Amino acid sequence: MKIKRTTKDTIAGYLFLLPALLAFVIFIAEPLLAAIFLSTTEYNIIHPYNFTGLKNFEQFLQDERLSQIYWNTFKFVIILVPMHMIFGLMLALGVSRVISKTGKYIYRTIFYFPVLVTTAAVAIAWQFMYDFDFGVINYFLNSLGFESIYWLTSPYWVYLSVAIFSLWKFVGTAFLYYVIGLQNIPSTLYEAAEIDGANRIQTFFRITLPLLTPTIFFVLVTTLIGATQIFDEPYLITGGGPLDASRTISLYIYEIAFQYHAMGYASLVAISLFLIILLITILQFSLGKRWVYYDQE
Amino acid sequence: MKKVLILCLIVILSIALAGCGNGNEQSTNGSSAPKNTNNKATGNEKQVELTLAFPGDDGKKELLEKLLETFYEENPNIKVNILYVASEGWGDYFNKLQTMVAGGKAPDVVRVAIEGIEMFVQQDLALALDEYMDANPEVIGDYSDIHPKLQDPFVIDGKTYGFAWDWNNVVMHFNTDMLKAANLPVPSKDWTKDDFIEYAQALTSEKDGKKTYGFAIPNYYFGASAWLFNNEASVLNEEMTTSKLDDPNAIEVMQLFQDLIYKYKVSPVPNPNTDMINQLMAGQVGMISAGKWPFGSYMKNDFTAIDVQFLPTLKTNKVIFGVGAFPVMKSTKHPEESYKLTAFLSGPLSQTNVLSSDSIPARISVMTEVLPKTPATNWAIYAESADIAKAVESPTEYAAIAAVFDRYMSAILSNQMDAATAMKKAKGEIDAILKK
Repeated sequence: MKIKRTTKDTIAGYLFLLPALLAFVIFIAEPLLAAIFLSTTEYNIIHPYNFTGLKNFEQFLQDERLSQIYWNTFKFVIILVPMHMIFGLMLALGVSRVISKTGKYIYRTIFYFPVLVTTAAVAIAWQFMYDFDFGVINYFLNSLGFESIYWLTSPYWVYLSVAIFSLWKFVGTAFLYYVIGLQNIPSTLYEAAEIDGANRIQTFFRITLPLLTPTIFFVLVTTLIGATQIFDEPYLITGGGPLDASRTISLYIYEIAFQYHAMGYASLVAISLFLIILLITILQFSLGKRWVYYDQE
Repeated sequence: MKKVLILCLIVILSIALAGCGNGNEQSTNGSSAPKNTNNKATGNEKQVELTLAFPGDDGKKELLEKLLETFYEENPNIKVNILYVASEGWGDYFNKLQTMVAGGKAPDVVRVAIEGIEMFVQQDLALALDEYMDANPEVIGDYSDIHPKLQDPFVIDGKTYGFAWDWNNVVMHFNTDMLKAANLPVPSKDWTKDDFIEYAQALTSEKDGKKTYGFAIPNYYFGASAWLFNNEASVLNEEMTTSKLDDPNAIEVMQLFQDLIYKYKVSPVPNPNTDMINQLMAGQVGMISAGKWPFGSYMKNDFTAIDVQFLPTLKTNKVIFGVGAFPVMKSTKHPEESYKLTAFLSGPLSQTNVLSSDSIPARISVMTEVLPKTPATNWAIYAESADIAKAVESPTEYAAIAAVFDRYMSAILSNQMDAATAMKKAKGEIDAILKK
């Protein structure tokens, strides 16, 4: 029987989607459903699970460490997200002003290179730098007449130390997205603005920023999700300490799952994080409609 | 046609993706001998392939593979694949082994320290070796040569789960160049807490912007426990059913650690991953408390300005010990061959050739032969301490309890909490873990 061209196209479309769909089902959907089920069980991965109903949920409500850890995560989000977004944009704008192609290439490499190196390796170097007694950062602070800072052992300074490391290591990602976004703004608009006598500030706020809003929105969504799930930086730099001062939800989930062997409770905490991120993302998308400008040309 | 080719490629990729869960996710390093197919008979004996799990950071890869060549000569039907498991500490290593077990990829033989054996036995993961010892006693050699105190942790409820291979304790290491500069001799074995503080103060200085400190605080469970033992304190009671961290003797030790940093100012503020061995070698600190394991680093870096002594006597002087062995996993399909491997690995040849500098052999004959070669004048304290040492507390929930202890220790050492408050809170959390 001759299959209609449209049905053939539909089949072809689904087949093209198949690898991505399979990856989604195997690595995202199935683990999520498994986590929802496991959250109602007691399971230590060695022995079969034990169905416990809402016991994990009761523990969740009574967990004294949880509120502090959620608050830590929130603090990281409000520090890291603006830092990554603003610095990323500043670097991208700076690089866009470099006239020489070689210069542009060199700067892009410099700013993106830290993203490529192994986080664990550079974290060791940064720990040495942050050392209170022997670290180079405090050495320079002392030579300028300042007191040494407890970078890794003060519950206040740990946020800055993790944030600085995170910014150095990962700002390249936001920077790259902004570079691409800036390249997509037609140069004719800048030429027209120059002819009309617009200065740099007016050009930035009337042309660059509005046309960059889709990129800013994308960076905001991804950076916010990343900051809420932050694990590498606090794990490698402070270990979550001192005490729980820099412990984030992701670190706590890791601790419950792999040190306490309570996979059921860890699954419940992971689901709570998932729901929070989902709500924030839905909110962002609905608010985004008000300020994101998509060029309809 | 092009579309058909692309569609075929996508379908093949999809099938490969769907089957990717069966792939080998772990890096394995094969032994130096050629591999044979599992269970392929050669002559009268079945060819068997075993997997041996080993902590990836122990630095014994070459020695181990060379040692196994002798094992292959004695057991030509057995081949061993060594699986190096990267980890941060024993707790992390045990967690990874458990994950392997849960994933159906349990090794046959695993390197395990005392901190994990109770957990492996309680979880019904370890194989009792008694029947194999009765059937093949000659494989073990002279069982009485294994120091009885060191072997004891691997005999649980009358059943043997491993043969002690290596052990370590905690003593004081001195940078002797710094001692000389401060006109101090290595203290005698009965030095006291006051002597220790005097030494720490004498070794603390600041010259031309360069700081040196007297002592690096042992901010890890094993190291801190050694000091607790010396003050007649401990993390847990004898039965390991409740925590004793609220005991005044325990609080006194932890308060001492805090005071060494902030009151006496003779210790640097420890970071989560401070490497105190490097600090000693670099002349940043004059004393550290550690076992024999730093000697591996000393020898690699040609650091010879080193000597050792027992920890200072607080209320008593007890030496802590931890010990390692190679238990066989219950899930092994080749228990007899695994028994032969574990016995060989714990044997005198293995201890002599593999243990080198950074741990102490558990066999008395090998200890007597090897310890005098330790590049420290007071090497004999390692031999002496075997008879008087007390095992590190290693409950089934070791990983969780050590994590609680380390967390509250970080609060004390970062001056966020006084020792009494921190230790009482730690006791509460540890008791809750033990109740479960």
